[in-house]
Amino acid sequence: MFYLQAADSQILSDYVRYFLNQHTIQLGQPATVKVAANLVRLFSYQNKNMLQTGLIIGGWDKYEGGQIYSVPLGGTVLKQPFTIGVTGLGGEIAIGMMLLRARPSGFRRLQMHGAQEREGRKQTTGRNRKPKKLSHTNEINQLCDKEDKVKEGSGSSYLYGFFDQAWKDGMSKDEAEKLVVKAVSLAIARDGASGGVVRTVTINAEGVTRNFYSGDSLPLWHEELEPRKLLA
Amino acid sequence: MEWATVFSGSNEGSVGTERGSERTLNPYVTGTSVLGLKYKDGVILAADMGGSYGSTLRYKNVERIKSIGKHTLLGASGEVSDFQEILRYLDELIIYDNMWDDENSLGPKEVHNYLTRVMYNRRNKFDPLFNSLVVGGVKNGQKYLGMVGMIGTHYEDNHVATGFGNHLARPLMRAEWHEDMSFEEAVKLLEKCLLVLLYRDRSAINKFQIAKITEEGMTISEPYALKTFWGFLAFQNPTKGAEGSW
Repeated sequence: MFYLQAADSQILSDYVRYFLNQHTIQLGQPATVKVAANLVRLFSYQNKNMLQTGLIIGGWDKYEGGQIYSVPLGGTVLKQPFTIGVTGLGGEIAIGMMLLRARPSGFRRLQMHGAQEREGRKQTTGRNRKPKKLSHTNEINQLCDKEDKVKEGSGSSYLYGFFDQAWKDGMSKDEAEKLVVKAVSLAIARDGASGGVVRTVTINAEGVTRNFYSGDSLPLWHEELEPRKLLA
Repeated sequence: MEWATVFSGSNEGSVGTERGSERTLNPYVTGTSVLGLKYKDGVILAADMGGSYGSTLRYKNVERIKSIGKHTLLGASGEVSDFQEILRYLDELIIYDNMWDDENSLGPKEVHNYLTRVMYNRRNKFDPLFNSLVVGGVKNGQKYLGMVGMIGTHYEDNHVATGFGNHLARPLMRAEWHEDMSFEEAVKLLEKCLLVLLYRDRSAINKFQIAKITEEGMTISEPYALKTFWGFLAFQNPTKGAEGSW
């Protein structure tokens, strides 16, 4: 299996943001998640011999609410209710989860919760990664095959089993956030390419919210010890 | 930054200064066997819903059988992104066909031929679509079932399979297929084959869709799973005659 290249994710994200911006201007309203995901797909698929990148695209638009798409190596597009992914050298893990909550009126509002940026760049849990500036669209559009959960990247292998057991349909925003943080911290425990901090991004009808969890606030796992103060 | 430069086909003008590719690439997300057989009223296709990523069973909700126009079903194994691309080509084909508005529509024979040409021409450019396709359908009472491989190999038969299915399922089909099987008989045979593949193919998952197409129309079933049997005596104490093994 090929290793995912962080630089490829960055350049792809740059291109997609550029075209998405143009599209938004021409369209006169925020672009849809499907469109963003399709842009990623086009780029990934056409240049598949040169790129080694898998992206998660998550966002919210007024037509279909929250959606998550996964675009792994090769340019397949799959829509999912949650997904996990990890970029390569930067050691980041991205987890996107979609929450379905039935409203009394019967209107389904989908919230996308995940450690991802709008163009589906991986979220940073690794070291030395500055948060990326995003373009100004309020809604996120990214296209991938629609799945409930999407995982990508190097630490993601450790999370498949975890999500198989822990993900449930219909979680609240807070439940989802807790789950995502737990999952990333588990991956950090086992993936050498991940560590440091956990950043999350929640995208829903209200907009985009970011949270930060420092390394020492994360739960400890097997054979990890409570840190103690330096003697000095 | 030109749209065309960035999003053109891989061999025409990729981003960057490289010539592009003289590539025969590796597949990434792959589907495993697709099975097809003719029965009394039409054609049945079956496939599981797995998208493997190497040895990881990564995606478990991939629809690998799709309908094309009114008369055809297409099942694919191999690289899923290439299958999605093929669906786009066929979309275009069908739309153009519909625009003629001449009460004529592309049938499975035509789709099969089109796909053969596409696959073979890509193969000639050393840039194949990494798929094995099963094309099945009924038009004007004529049942049709064919296969196209990634190098352009193509043929029709009463029963076809891709990948592992060729080795595990087709012997069963050769033994038990007969003309004018009923729907139940056909499904029984297919399920038998699917079960064998589930036991023996590491990329197979226990989540299947069976699609049928007749003169009246087509249906793709909801996903379902099969019961497996593991109660063999030999499995209870596997190292009985061979201590140290497993």
